[in-house]
Amino acid sequence: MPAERSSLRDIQARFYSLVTAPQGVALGLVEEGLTSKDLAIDICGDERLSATERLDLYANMYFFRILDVLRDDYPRLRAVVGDGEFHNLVTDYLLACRPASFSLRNAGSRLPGFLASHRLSVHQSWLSDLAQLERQRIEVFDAADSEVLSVPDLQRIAPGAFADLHVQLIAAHTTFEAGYAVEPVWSNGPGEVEGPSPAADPHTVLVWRQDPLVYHRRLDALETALYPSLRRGVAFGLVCEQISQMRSDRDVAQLAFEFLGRLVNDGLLAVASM
Amino acid sequence: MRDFPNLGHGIGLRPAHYRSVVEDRPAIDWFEVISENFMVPGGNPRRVLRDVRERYPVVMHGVSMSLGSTDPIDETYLDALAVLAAETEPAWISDHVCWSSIGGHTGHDLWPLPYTEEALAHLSSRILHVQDCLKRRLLIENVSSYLTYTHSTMSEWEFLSALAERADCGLLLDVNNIFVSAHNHGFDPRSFLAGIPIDRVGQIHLAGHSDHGAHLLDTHDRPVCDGVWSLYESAVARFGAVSTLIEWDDNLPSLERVIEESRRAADLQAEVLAQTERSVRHAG
Repeated sequence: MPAERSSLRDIQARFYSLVTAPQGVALGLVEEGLTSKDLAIDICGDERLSATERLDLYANMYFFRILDVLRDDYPRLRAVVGDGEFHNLVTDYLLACRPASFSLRNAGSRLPGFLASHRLSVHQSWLSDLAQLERQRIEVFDAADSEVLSVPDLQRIAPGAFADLHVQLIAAHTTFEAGYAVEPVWSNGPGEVEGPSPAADPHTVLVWRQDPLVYHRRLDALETALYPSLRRGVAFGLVCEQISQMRSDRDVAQLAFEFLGRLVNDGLLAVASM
Repeated sequence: MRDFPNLGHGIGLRPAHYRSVVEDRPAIDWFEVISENFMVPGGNPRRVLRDVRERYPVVMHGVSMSLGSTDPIDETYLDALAVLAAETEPAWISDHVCWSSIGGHTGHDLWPLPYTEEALAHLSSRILHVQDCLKRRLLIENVSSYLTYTHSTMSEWEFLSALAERADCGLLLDVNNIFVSAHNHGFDPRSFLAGIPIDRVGQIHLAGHSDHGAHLLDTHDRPVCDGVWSLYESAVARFGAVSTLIEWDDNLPSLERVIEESRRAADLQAEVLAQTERSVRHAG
């Protein structure tokens, strides 16, 4: 601390630096070449609690508030790595990826990417995929609403009009590329962490909301190929054409309607597409 | 203040109670929502809020405006808040006398300000800006604090009074926060109440806190303690019938239990107001 009292800006910068120091305020002061007397120039202490101890209360609240949120956001990751390692992971994460969003919901949004290069991933490189799955489920949970195309909506379409049906995925969906088959680990739930490590198995995972619940599954080869078109919206007739180019072994029309039926049953198509 | 009508006795709307509130329609005067929890594009939170708003008055209480920060105001945040307010039409919007971000980073906490002329000028100008953007007056809440600054040149209540005057805003008086800070810093909580201008108080918060010996922590994880109830009586005697809310966030009990706490506040307020009326009549 400077000998003279600081400006509001300086107070806030120093407060933040010490409250977010990874090993507490006392060690944070040492790292900045300061002493508790320097701190006392700006912050009052008394016989009950010194200035350092008072600031440490804020340091603890900063870390544990975010830790609690990330524990809730990543229950399966936490179960797999254990509470101690999860605590250490969050410590490392907060140093590398300081929260910048106004919403606590976003405090852990960069954890999957961070985890990919963290020491925990050296022997369990699938952890990042598991974290990504947990993260994307959060993202989809409160993504934008769409009016969902239902089976009765389809039944009202004249057979000759299907080719012009504009099919487009709902807003509350996302995909990500997974290198490992982590879905079974997720399905085990946070209470069951035993079991073999997921095998390497590159695939695309689809995550979506069928209100109010969130679902996920891997995309099959046909869905993966058609996904770009479905995402931006496409006439069903063009979907049939694309299917015919990929699959000559089956009745294309039957395959296309099975495909459409599955998307509708999963609540994945928006009614605005009609 | 006429901008902030007496809504009666409310509770905070929390995710664990969403289903009970939507399905059972409990007898409660109004709900307070944490604005940031609903500043999302869609999904269940927004659906629940729309449903609740159709049946109850709602006020929006923010925790991330960071009014006291020396960073620029987060205009993206303000835009999102304005969108939510337009959809929700809350009775009012509130936030805190605090800062929570610096250098583009946020601490997700309500960090205290020094009570100086510099902080007062800074905070009041930002409140005026926000009120201008939102086209409404704000209620600004006192926070629980665990440290004070050597810089402070005035008491917290003097700071709040001056702030309300300069920014022409209302005050959300958190009686539990007064109790906690009074213990932590050794001031008389009733001096705090006596120093707050009566016509600026638009809402009162009540909550539980935890006792750690050397200090109290504002934890919102238990019932309101006797000391805070007693201070609430003093607040009602001074400020009259003001909208009062029970905050309960951690170790959240059933909805019925939280409502029971709210009814206790209502009964206490009615008792104090009746006593005051009797006193006035006798004096007359």
